[in-house]
Amino acid sequence: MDAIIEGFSLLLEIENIILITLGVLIGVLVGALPGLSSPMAIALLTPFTIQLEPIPAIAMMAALYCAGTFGGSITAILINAPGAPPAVATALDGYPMAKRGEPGRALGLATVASVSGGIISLIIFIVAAPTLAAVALEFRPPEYFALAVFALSMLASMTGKSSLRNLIAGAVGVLLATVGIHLTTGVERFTFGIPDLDEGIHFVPVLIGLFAMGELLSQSSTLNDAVERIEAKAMKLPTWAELKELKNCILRSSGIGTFIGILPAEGSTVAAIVGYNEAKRFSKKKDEFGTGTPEGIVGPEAANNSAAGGAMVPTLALGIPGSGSTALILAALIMHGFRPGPYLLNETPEFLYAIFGAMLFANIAFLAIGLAGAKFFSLVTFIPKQILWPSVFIFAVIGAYSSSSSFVDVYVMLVAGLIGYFMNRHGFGAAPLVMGLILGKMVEEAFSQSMIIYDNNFLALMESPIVLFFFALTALNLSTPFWTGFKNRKAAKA
Amino acid sequence: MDNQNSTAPTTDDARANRLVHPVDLAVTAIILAGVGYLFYVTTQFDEVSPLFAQNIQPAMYPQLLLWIIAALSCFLPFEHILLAKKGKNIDKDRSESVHPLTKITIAFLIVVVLAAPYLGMLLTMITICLVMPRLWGYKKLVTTLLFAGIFPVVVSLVFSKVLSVYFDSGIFGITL
Repeated sequence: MDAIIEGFSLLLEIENIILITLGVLIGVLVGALPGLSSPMAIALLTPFTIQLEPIPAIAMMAALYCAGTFGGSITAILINAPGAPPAVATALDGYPMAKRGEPGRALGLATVASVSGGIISLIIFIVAAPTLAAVALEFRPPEYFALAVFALSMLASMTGKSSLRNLIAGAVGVLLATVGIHLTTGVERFTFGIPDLDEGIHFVPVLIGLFAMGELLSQSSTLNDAVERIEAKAMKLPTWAELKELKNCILRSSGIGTFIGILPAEGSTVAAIVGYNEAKRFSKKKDEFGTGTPEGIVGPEAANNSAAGGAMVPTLALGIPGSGSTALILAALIMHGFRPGPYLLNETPEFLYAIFGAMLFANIAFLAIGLAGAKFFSLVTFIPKQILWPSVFIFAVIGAYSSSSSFVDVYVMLVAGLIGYFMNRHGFGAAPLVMGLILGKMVEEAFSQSMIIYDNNFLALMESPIVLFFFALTALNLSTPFWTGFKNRKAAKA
Repeated sequence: MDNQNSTAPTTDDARANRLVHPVDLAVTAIILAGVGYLFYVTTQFDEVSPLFAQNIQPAMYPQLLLWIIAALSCFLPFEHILLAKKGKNIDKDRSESVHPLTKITIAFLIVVVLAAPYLGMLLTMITICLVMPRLWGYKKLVTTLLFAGIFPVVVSLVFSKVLSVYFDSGIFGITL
């Protein structure tokens, strides 16, 4: 009880309320601007939060994460271009509804579904995270190693062009984590005589480069794409009768979204697509999907926002990122000197409640922002790309530079951006690489300690039922694409 | 005419029909060359006594990862067959060569970043705000000038005065 009071009291400080509100506003704004995404905003924000106390810094990022997911729906509805990938399914019915003259209603449905999904997932988060952390306290290095391998295998099912490319990008990320002085032996690895690399690759410039610069270069080829914009004058909240009708759809999608969010590497985008499909499957008006039906908006919106809460469960309880955005939050936690995982929650439970409070605040703030700022956020989509992206570039340069007041980090950011652009062009996502980079140190540490425990006998790892369980899940996860492909071919032949 | 276009085989189709995807073969070759070089680098790592290393030499783990990356990469040239069966087109974003404006943007970014230590942060920001919109075809000169005049100054003031970020003043010594 003391932890709850302490956690919430931290949020009642005026400075922290301002920071969280700022996080929400930046999140909605970033989410609403096509091309800008919450991982990019978190990456850009990270260097500036170093001067803050850890709890308000992480709370601000968590609020931004929630708000960014919601903000993406604004552009999905008004210009048929999802501001963020999780809003991709919202556009399917949101845009047709806006186009037939009901943009305010579409925004209202999306907002209410987002708030509901977000709050439901936070209730599950506050119950599940400490429970999972308590279970994880029993984990030893072999179990952690197996869990991390399972998390990396989940990259195969992450959204993107191909499972194979996600896995390669993840492995490259893990390899990048080996750069620097080896902790056990003190031997330099991949430093190439550059002293700046002794402590390993700096997260911030790499993250900014991969997420912001890579996207900037991609945007440079789409400047002439014509976009039809619909202006929303005000948001219209759904009536009680309408909400009653949509209640089951929202609850179902929230459950689906939270579950998908909890799975390592599975984020809001997968949740939104599954949420949309399930809304359609259970609907009595299947034929109306794609024409602007309310269920087609609330299904994906409740799912993608609840996935944001769900993704925080493994992130905080196990130190395993639940999505690309939470991988960046993990990186920020590490930069603030925390070791994410069960010990963090057990030793500083107020931390968990402060994050919970910040995300709850963010979810409630959507309603106010949606009601008061629908017109403003619809106008934001009119900012020309030629003005927007130079601004992003400036923030990227300042962000990379300010992390250690060094131009070397700006060069690293630029190189990471160029690599990110070409990786993306060939189907290798930035998010799997970042997740590999974040998990890399943990994998190696746990692997080395396990080998010491079992005297270099890898097979002895299997003595632990938890290790066996995670390895079985890994095998199942990696073989699923081949198995389903085989089944589909067999069905097609029949 | 449209009908003709839709039935004519495209470069993407031709690639998809081959057993080995030529672009992915080149990607694999680049990855394998990188892996080969990095593997060589790992052989140059200092060795420590087995007792100190507790039987895990510093090179062992990176070498294991390099083997995994190499093994996974070997499937890349054939992956398009599986993806095509799933209805995914891996060539969607790379079917056309890099857009000329992207190349120009890359060149500009490199030049401006390399010049930043000499220009200082404020002048770098003003340069970006002046040049990039014009480079990207933005024709409203007054808006561009206002953007270049106001935005960098506001950003500089906020970051240097509020967030206490130290900005390099460059060889011209211009700062706020």
